Amino acid sequence: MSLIPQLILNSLIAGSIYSLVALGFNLIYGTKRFFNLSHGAVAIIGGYIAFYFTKSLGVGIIVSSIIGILAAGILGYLLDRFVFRKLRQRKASDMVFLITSLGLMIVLQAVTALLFTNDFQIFSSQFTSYQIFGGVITQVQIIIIVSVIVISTGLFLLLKKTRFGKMVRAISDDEEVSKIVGIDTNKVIGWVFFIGSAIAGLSGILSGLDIGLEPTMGLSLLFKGVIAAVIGGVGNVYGGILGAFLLAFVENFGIWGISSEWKDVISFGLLIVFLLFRPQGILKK
Amino acid sequence: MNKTTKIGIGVVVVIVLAVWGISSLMAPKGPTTKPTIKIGVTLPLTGGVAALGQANKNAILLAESQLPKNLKYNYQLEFQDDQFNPGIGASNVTKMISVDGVSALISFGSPVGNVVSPIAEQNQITHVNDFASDPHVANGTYNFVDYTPAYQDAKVFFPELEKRGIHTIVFFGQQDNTGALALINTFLSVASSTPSIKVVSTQMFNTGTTDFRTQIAKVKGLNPDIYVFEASSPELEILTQQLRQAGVKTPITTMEAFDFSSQLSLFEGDWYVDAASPMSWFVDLYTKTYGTAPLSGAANGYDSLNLIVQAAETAGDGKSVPSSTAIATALAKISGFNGALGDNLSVGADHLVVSDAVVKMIQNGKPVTISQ
Repeated sequence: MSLIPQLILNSLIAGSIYSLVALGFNLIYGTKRFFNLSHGAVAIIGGYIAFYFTKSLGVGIIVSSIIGILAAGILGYLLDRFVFRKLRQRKASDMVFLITSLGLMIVLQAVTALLFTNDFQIFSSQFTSYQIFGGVITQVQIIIIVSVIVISTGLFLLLKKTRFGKMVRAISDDEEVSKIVGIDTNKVIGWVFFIGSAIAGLSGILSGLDIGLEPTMGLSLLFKGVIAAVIGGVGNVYGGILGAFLLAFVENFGIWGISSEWKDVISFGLLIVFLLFRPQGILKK
Repeated sequence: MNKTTKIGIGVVVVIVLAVWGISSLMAPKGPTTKPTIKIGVTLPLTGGVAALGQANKNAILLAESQLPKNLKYNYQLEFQDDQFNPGIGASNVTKMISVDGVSALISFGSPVGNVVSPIAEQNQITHVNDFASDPHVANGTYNFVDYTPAYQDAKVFFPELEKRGIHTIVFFGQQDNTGALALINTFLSVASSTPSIKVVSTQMFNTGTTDFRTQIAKVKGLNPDIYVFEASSPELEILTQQLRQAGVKTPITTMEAFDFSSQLSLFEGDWYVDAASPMSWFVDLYTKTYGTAPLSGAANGYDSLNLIVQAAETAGDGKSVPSSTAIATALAKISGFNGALGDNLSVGADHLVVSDAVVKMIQNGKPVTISQ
């Protein structure tokens, strides 16, 4: 089997996972301008809720996934409603937002570990795989790639073609002016958190279906999503997708010829290069 | 405070002193209380390997309950949770040494053992680690390891490979895991000097890796006879899943790594080499006490406590707690010890209580010993 088709497929799979995380992250950052470190933990909680409904309650995987996505969305909304909104009202600095989100990440991770233990969990060891252009891909991985296409298309339509999207863009440009013109910014931001967190939940569920779940996995997902967002243009929803696939291709082709221990060096090295030479990312906000 | 109150307090104090004095004089002059030896135990009671840590604790408590009543000393155990984190383990033992005044320590695993060892040595406190593959944990006068060392695993592993007609291997190693590192180094060292075995590819990765697909794609075409993994959870399970998703049906094996997996069904039918299996009497006793079979390392915990007790009983006169140096000296001379891991065990000159490795296979999601 030639290596190139499999490397391309591997890059598409990894890029899709990173894209889903970056999409939600960028949506929230684009509106509120802070690095929400709890985003990764919300993603994994979505995965665990779907896991719980599937494994413990015997609910079908599709219904469980919908519940997991909604639960992650609601969790994100509640975090905004009861934590971040309060900080906005107090005009807290960016550092306070960052530290708070870090604290939330740790709390959510710890609660997840208490409820589900630290043991690595898998939905199922069974899978269906297909040969495509000389490479192997599983059914779940195909769903991951399709999900990115569907979600990014949906987000495009939402942000460009709806009144809600206009309000989001207005708040992103200037929250104070948005309030003046009559936009209920808290409500819109709440919905942004809901949507961004729901997308994160989907990424957690798909990641869980593909490789499994562990409470600390949210952090590594978040790191890759953030790197993708920065490379693509932080705050630019579509830039995040571009950055995600660029990151995935560079990682996978980068370790083709060298030892795989260098993978993290490649990821973070690429981040540093962009921060030094193109900090605004590939696509500006 | 007025005069009446002062007089009242004075009267109460006098009465209390009088009662105490009289009761002391009247107390029966029985035998004096035995001195107590404190033993500090740091285990992963929460976290990724909590099941193993908890089993170890159960076994140590079981050993304590089985101690004869006519010993020279009372033994008091203090347990601390280290979450298999070396930093927390170091903090635990520092506190147990400096605040609780323990005379001996028990720790679990190479990562924690490697940080506890120098602390124990510096403070001259006897330390037994009961789950360390890395023999360096036993460095020094005061440190001991009661676990099958990696070289014992290799003594069984490589003949088993040859017996099964395995000649070509692809190896995956979690290089920044100190627990796996001793096994990785031993495997690579012995493999390089075994003519019948050829490691056709060595793939190292870091903790936290969740995407092994490209590494797998790189080695898939080599078609080895077997894949050898030295990793811990969850990297072990993720690597295995992705290997199978890539369409690779080649068997997987390891030295001990399957012990750390919570998803043994992924390795159904795969054989591996593990540390010594416990004696059947210990398995029966543990199962009867706790309602479940002992996990890997539990028997080592049972023996660790008994080794310390035997050493303390030998070193001390029963009137005062023996020095930790005396306990360590006595422990180093133990031979003919009959424990949960076997009969006639001895502490070697390298402070390792050597027990034999065994071959196991995952059958119906459980490890089963197939060859001693």
